[in-house]
Order: sequence, then C-alpha cells, then structure tokens
Amino acid sequence: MLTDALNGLMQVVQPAPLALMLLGVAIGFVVGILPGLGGAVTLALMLPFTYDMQPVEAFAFLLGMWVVTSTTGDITSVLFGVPGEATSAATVLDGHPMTKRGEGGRALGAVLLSSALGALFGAVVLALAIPIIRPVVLAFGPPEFFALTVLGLTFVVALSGRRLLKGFVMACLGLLVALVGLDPQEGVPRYTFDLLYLWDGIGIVPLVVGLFGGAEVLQIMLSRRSIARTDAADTSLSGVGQGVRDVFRHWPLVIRSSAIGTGVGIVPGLGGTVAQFMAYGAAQQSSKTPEMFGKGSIEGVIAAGAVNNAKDSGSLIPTIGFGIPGGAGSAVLLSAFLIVGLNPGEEMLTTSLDVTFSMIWVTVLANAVAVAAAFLLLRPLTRLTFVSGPLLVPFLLLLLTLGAYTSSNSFADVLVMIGAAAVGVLCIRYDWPRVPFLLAVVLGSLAERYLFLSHSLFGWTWLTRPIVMMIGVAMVLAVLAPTIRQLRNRRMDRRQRTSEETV
Amino acid sequence: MAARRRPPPEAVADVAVTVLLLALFAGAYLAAGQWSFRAALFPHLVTAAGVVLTALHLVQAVVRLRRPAPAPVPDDSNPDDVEYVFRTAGPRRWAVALGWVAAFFVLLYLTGLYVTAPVFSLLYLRYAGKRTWIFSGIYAIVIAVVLYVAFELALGVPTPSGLFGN
Repeated sequence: MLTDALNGLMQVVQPAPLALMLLGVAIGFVVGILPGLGGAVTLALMLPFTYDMQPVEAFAFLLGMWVVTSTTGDITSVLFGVPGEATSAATVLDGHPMTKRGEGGRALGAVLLSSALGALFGAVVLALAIPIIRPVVLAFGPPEFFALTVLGLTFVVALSGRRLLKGFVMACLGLLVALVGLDPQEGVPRYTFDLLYLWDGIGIVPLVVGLFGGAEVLQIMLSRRSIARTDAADTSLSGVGQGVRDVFRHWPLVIRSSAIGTGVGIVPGLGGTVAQFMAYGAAQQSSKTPEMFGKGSIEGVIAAGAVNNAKDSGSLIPTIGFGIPGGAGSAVLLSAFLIVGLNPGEEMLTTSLDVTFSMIWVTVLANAVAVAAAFLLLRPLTRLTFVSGPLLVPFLLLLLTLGAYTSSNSFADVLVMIGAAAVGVLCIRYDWPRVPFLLAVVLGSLAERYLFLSHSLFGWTWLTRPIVMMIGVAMVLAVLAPTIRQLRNRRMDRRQRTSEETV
Repeated sequence: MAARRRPPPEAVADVAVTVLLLALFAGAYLAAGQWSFRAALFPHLVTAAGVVLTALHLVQAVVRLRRPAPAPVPDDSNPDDVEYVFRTAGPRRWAVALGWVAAFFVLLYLTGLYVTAPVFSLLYLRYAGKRTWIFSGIYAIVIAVVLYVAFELALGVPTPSGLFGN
C-alpha cells in the first residue's frame, strides 16, 4: 500500500496533472465564491473536457475543482452572509456576525485553516479506510439512513435552545415544503397548484441563498452602513493570526467536526448540509459558551469549516469502494471514473490503487493551494467588508439573483429566492429559527423514501435494529441535554440568589 | 390600579404567525386527503404533527399575550445586530428599502440582467447612496462589463434575459 501511495504522489507531481490541478483549483475558487454555481454543477460542465485525458490528469482537474468549492464557499458566508455553497450555510451563523464586529480576518483565518485540516483528516481517513470500508457501508440499510436523517434534524432543532417548540414547528414547515412536487412512490403531484415548475419541487439553492442572504442585504439597505462596523485599522492581518491560533487552541473540536464530516460523508445520500449542522450542533453542545453560538462564536466557525472538506473525502469512500456515490459531486465523479475506464470497487482498491491514492493526494494538495491563495487574498477580501453599504447593495442583489437563477436557469427560482428571503426576514424579526426549516427541506424527501423502503423491507421490526436504536438514544439525548443544562443552570442561579439573600 | 401595559408587538406577531401556520398545516392535511394512501401517508404524518405542535405553540403564545407585560427594561442590544436593525428601522425606511428591492426585481423581470445591473446600480447609488452621477456611472459601467465578461464570455452561463429580451 505504501508503494502505491508513493506512486500516486509521483503521478500527481508531473507537469501535466499539476497544471490541470491548478487550473481546476482556480475554477473551483471562483465557483465556490459565487452562490448558485455549485461544485457538482461545475463538475458536470467540465466533464466533457476530460474525455481525452489520462485518469490521473482527469482527476487532478476535476477533484482540484471540486474540493476547493467548499473552502471558498465559506469566504462569502463569512464576509457577506451569503453562502457560496449550500453546504456553507452553517458558516454564516457565526462567521458573519464576527465580520460585523470587525473580526472578519479572524473568522476567515479560522475557517480556512480548519477547512484545510478537515481536508487533511478526511484524506487520511480515506487512505486508511480503503481496506475496511466494505463491511461498514454494507451495515447501513434504509432504516439506518432514515434514523440518521431524523438524527440530523433533531440535532438542529435542539440548537433552537429555549425556542424548542418553534424549532419543531419550523422543522414541520420545512418537511411540508420538501413534499412539494411529484410523489416518489406513485408520481402524484403534491401541493403543486397545477404549476409545472413545482413538479420538480422547491430548489435547495435558491432557498438557501434567499433564506440567509436576503436578510443580510436588507440589513445593509436599512442601516446603510458597511458590513463591518468597527474601524480598526489593521484588523484584517492581526485577526487572521488570531484565527489561526484559535484553530490550534480548539484542535479537539477540529478533529471531532472532521470526524463527523467524514462519517456523514461516507453515508450515501445524506449530503453536506446534514454534516455541517450536525457538527455545528455537536460543537454547541460541547462548548463552555453555547449561548454565544449564532452571535459570533469562533467555535461555530471552526466546526463549520472543518466539516465541509472532511465530508468530501468521506463521500469518496463509498464511491471508490462500491460505485455508490456519497453525494451529487461524487455522483458526477463516478461518471468520470467510467469515462476514463476505471471501475469502482475491487479494481480501484487493487490494480488501480495508485490512481486511487493520486486522488487522495490531489484532495490534500488542492486544498493546500486554495487555502494559501485565499490567505494571500484575505486583506483585499476583508477590506470589502468596510466598503460603504450602498456600494455593496447592487453587487449583493446581483449575487443573490445569479445564485438563484443559475441553479436551473429559471426565473421561478428567483421568485423562490425572494420568498425564502421574506421567510428569513420574518424569522429574524419575530425570533423563529431558520435552520430547522432549511434542514427539514433538505432531508424531507430522503426521509420519506427511506421510511417507505424500511417499512416495505422490514415491516415495523426495523425500529428494533441495533444501529437504529443507538441513533434513537442519541436523538433523545440531543433534545434532553440542552433542556437539562438549562434546568441545572436555573437551579444554580436560584440557589445563588437564596444564599445572597440570607447573607 | 396600575394600567395594563399593551403586549409587545413580538408577542402579537407570534400569535398571528402561529395562527397562519396552523391554518397552513390544517389546509395541507385536508388537501392530502385527495391522494392515494401511499402518496398521502407521509404528508398526513407531517401535517398532523405540524397541527399538534402549532396548536401547542398557539396556547403558549396566547398565555404569554394575556400575561401582564413586564416593565420595560433598558435595551442593551447591539445596534449592529440584524435583529436590532429590523426592530428599530421605522416604517418609512422599510418602505424605501423594500421599494428598491421590488424595483430591482421588476426591472430584472422586464429587461434582464445586463440592463438591470447598470441601471439599478446607477439609480441606487445616486439616490439612495447619495453618490455623484459620475461615480455612479462609472460603477454602473464597471459592474456591467464585469458581469458580461464573467458570465457571457468566460463561463458561458445563462442569465435572466427579461421579458423584452426574449
């Protein structure tokens, strides 16, 4: 295996693969920053260019592009509050408030380094997992997938804190939105109001862009101030160093978030949105200052950054091992395997193991290059946040529009984005949580499909499967833990007040 | 007897939003009754849960509404928080901001991206941003050129072409 690993590295550092990797990184950098132009879509657009390439060259180009989009998607999340990728939404929650405090440099430094470390973690797990992936993935069936989707949702609802009931209501609303479209079992149009556009359901990208980006743009229009409020002269550079130190100080958080990202990425179909909010929720629950989450907690930024890249490597595991794509991006990569003549499974784990390792090296090198380039551009990027608000408004409105429109080239998606923005604004104004709504939309159709499969295959005995029961316990703990913590804090406060009164 | 304070607008809005959501879930539940059993099962589960949870929240919200409002406390919110901005911006500022947003999207729908970008930028910077005509004009031209080069020439990505563009 070591020989194949070294051979893989040697193949990547040749002039042609290296040049193609850098080209892919440059394209991925731009795509990640622009909302709507997702990594998976761009992979599909670039696929035809790989027909005449050697396998290592093709994957240097495609993977170099794909793995970078998660990293750079976090940049617009932090700076402008507009997620560059759907999987960068969690970064907005704490990254953007930090930018508004004038700590954009610190947030960017933290998110970029944690992304790079998450990518490294994922790559190491991918390399070590090669001999053992088969039994692990085969242990998961529809009941386990259903349980995982509900666990992801529960984690996120638990983030609502004292607004738990509102969180559950918003989750139900999100599930309702996810039901719009053709029923997957019988093809019955549900809640489509005779509109052909709605037969495909509500698009996730316009929803995410509107839900998070709309409120930020409106805030700038109402306040007419720059995104960052403090006028600290050299906040950008000193902040970056602080952000880097924060990542090393919270190294257990980086490892835990990366592990969650890799683990969830391994499970086909769950997607990056689940992973990021699970890691974010876990970070909040283990934090000493959970009340800071959502208001500019560096731990929230680090967790969201680390998970994004780790999940990409995780999703490659079932793709390479069985030809089961872990997500949309790895589904496109699977087509690339077939185009260049590679067969997932035994061939890629034995005779073409050096090609597999070259893919692992590309994920590490591409992320290192992208993060280095991002660090070089940090000063001008963070300076943008001190630009006067009215100057940014046209740019941000265009960013939102393009983000919504380019997902399926339909103006109806722009209308969805506007609707989602209205929902986002109302949620903020009247203190209803947005995140459970978003995650429920993402997970709704998956949950329904897995539920039906579970029942068809196992009746109701699927509820007693060991992994399902373990996940059930985790769900209960996720909901009870914050409540128990609140009750304990309240009791301590009461005891303290009583002792102060008796003194 | 102390005068009863009016309930805060947030509490009233909570009740209003909850009632709307309750109606939505109930309507969705009834609509699902027209489909086959398999097509309607998951929608019924979701909307029934929605009705129950929303009803519970409505009770909570109404109880909060009927509770005597607490004495006003000094507002120590951060003026840079989006919640603070939304809460304190007056109706006129909201109307102006939403008016500009509506104008942007109507213009986009009618004329497409490559007309909307420079026209909106010029007018917004001039009248909302209080910049000079020259500054606004240069900004408008730059943004139009950058958009065209990036999306039309470099990426070849379709953009909204507008009703008149079609």
